[in-house]
Amino acid sequence: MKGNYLGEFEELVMLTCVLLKEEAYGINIVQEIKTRMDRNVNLSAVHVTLYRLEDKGLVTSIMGGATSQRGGRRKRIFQVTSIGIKLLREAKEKRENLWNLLPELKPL
Amino acid sequence: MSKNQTSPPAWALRFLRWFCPEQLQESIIGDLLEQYEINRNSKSRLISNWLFSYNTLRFLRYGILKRKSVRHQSNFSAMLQNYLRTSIRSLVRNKFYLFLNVFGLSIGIAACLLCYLHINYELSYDQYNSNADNIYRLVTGDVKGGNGWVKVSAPMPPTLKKGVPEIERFTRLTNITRDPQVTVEYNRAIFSESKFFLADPDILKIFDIPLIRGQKDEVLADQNSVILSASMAKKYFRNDDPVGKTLRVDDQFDFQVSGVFEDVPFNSHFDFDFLISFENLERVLPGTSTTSNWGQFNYSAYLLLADGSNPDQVQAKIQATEVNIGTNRNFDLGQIGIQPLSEIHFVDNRGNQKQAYNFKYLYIYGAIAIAILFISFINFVNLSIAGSTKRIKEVGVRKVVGANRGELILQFISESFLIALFATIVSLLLSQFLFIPAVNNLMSSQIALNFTDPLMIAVILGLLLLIAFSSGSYIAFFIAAAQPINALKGMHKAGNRGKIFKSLLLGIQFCISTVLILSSVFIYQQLQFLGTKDLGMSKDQIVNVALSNSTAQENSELIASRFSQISGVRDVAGSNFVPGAANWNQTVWWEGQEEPISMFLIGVDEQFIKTVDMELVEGDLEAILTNQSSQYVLNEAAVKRIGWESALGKSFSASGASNAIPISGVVKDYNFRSLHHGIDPCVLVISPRRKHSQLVVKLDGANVRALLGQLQNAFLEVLPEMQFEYTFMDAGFARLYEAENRTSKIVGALTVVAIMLAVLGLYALLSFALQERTRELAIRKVLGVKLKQILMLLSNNYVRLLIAANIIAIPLTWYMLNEWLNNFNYRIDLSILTFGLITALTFLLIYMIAGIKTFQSNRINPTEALRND
Repeated sequence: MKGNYLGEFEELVMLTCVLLKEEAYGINIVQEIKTRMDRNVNLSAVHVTLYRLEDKGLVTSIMGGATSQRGGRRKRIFQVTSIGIKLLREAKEKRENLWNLLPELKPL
Repeated sequence: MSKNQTSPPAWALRFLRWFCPEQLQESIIGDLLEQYEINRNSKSRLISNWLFSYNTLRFLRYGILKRKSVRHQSNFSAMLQNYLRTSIRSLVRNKFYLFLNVFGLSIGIAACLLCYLHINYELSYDQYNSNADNIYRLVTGDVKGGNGWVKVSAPMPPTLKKGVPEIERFTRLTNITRDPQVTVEYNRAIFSESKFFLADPDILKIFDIPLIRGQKDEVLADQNSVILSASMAKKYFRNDDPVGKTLRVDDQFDFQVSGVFEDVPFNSHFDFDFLISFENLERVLPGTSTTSNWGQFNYSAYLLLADGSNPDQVQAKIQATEVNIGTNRNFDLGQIGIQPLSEIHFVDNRGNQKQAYNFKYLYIYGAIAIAILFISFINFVNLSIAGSTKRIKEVGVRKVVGANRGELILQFISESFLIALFATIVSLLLSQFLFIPAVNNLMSSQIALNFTDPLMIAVILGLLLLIAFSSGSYIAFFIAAAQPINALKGMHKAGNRGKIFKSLLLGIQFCISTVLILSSVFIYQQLQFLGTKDLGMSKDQIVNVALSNSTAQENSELIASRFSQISGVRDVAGSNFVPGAANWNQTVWWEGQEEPISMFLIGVDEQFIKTVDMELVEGDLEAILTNQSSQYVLNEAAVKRIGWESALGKSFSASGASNAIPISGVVKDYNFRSLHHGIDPCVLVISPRRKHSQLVVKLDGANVRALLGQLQNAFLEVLPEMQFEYTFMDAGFARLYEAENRTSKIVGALTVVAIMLAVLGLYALLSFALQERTRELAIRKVLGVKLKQILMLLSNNYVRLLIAANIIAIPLTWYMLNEWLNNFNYRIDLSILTFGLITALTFLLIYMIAGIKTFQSNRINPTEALRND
């Protein structure tokens, strides 16, 4: 996050986080982004982003269920905080204002 | 979920576990595994594995690494302090063990250090010259093999300089007389000097001989000038300015001092105190010539080649140079070669001023130093282990409280470092005040601890770190494996893991010790042999009285008759003979000669043969003794070389065919040089008693001291202003074996060191074994075993080890000693009896040490020992 602004990737991850609700953890987010946006992101990038967001207080995490697929290891489930949600809305609003100022880009 | 049997590459996981912060590992690894499963469903195993590794490695990034907590680092210094404290406490508790350890290690370090210094010193010979790489010496014969002759004739260098463009400068160098002594007088003080040399002025430009007074271009320009070394200036002139003063040489020649040069450094292959211009040659040495006499190879000659010259090409050019010496005869330069300055010190050729240093010795000393270092290092490790079993409880506690392996290793490394540091300091002190002076004394060298030498500092530090790290980690691995519970309880398994290793190390120690012991015994024997072998001439009870200038020589008849009158003096003769210093080599002529060859010549008078008890095989002794004119007496080798059956009466000459006279006799071969060499053809040039440099006096009486006093009185009666200088003939011969003497002493010293260290090592191991087997021994004691059986029990392993070590050591020693003995033309045999005797002694030593330990084991109280079981 550069300054007070949300980076593009951070926004993406946070949105997916909200979307996935109880199942918002590393690899799942990667898969969701792949399905929804047809975009290959790296697992480590997602992890590091989430940790950074947690440092900023925009997400929180708790340890979740373990599966045998993961060799018995638990998942770290992330949840966007209210501040995080607020920032997301702000970002969306500001962008829409910009779009509205550009008649050329308006759909016909 | 699909049950896939394959699993991702384990190394990647291990790597991740290493760099990834602990608190993040679970979820990350879990995600990676899940991703792997997903991949496996659609892709091959190979690709999935590769993707797994790739994704794992992608986690190696700043964002992850920075999350590794820095909790450990902040306590670093505190931990070190704790380690320091516990180390010091444990060391103080076992002062004896500490002492042994430090002692053994410091000797090892000192040995290594000394060896480095020694090698450095020997390699530095002549290297102080800035032109060292371009300086070569004219030589002839097999110089690399040690059979060459390192002098050439006077006209050769200037002629070569004209013909060979690469030669920038040349200089010749020679002693002022055939015999080394000459008298120098200033202000009524007469001293006899042996280092009075003639040289071309360019010598100051070829070699680095800094002038304290005078200019390089001027000092030797005048024939009548002389320059002297700083210490000579002090000797003759004290604090006065020497320049301008006149020195009288040999009561015949006057030279004016024109400059003073710094003493020739100790690590040079030559050494001179006075220099006069080479142009004086014909004046001071009648019969010589600077422009002819191409066959008189009596002068050292050095060349300064231009930068970048190819020595082989230069040598080829030299050999191809045509020299016309009149009447259609060419002097053949095909045998002439050039020897680089760096090699001069290391090959013992005939004609060298100082004894050369066989390069092989450097390797030997290097090997021995490393061997000793190795032994003491092993001892250090073994002793530390033996001492550290007492620390197992401490290790157990540390582990329980939370020390990880790395911390334990660090602790023991720092403890080793502490001991090693202490040992290094001790060894530096010992070296500086004890070892180095002793070695300098022994080797006549000037080694010094030079703390500004970066290489030496690096060597010391390197040793220190090497010892600390390797022994520390070895110990740590050994100890850190102990289970905390067992350690606290007091149970620990007998370390069978390291046994083979330890035995191997001890075996090597035994081997090295045996080699050294045998070597020193045989070297000593060889020296004894050299000293007592029959040389074909007498050397005991013979005093050589110096006749240093022409006045003395003119009065030699008078002095000799005075000597003969003293009872206790059997014979008196005149000669130029100095044992081993056969420096006069000249082409000789005989009737029917096809090609001229050169032979050694020794100038003597007619009494000489009788005085030194040479054996005449041809000729009449009485006739020789009473003959008042010049004579020639050859040795058997000379006769054989010429190819005659008998030589008596045949025409022979050492000064041209026109001066040939019949040979007066043939003597049995005698060793006029050291026993390194065989007996070469040699001619005794007998001239009536005059112009010889010394009187040879054979003493018959018992009280040598008193006789010397009488000789001195008789001498001073005739020449009150001269100094009575004398040497003993056998001392002169003994000096030839200086190098071997040195070697014997060094090997002896090293043997003592090696034995000490081996005994130390054995003692340490036995202590350890005793500790380990306390319970076992206690039980045996209860069962009623006798001391002797315990002795056998303890020592059996080691005896077997010694046998194995000897199997290797004995042939090795035999081979090495054989090689060394082959340097000598005359040598002892390596007797099996001696081998056996020494070996028996080493076994005895082991039993003795084991015996001491057995005694100690007697004190084991079975109840105490078995209490904790």
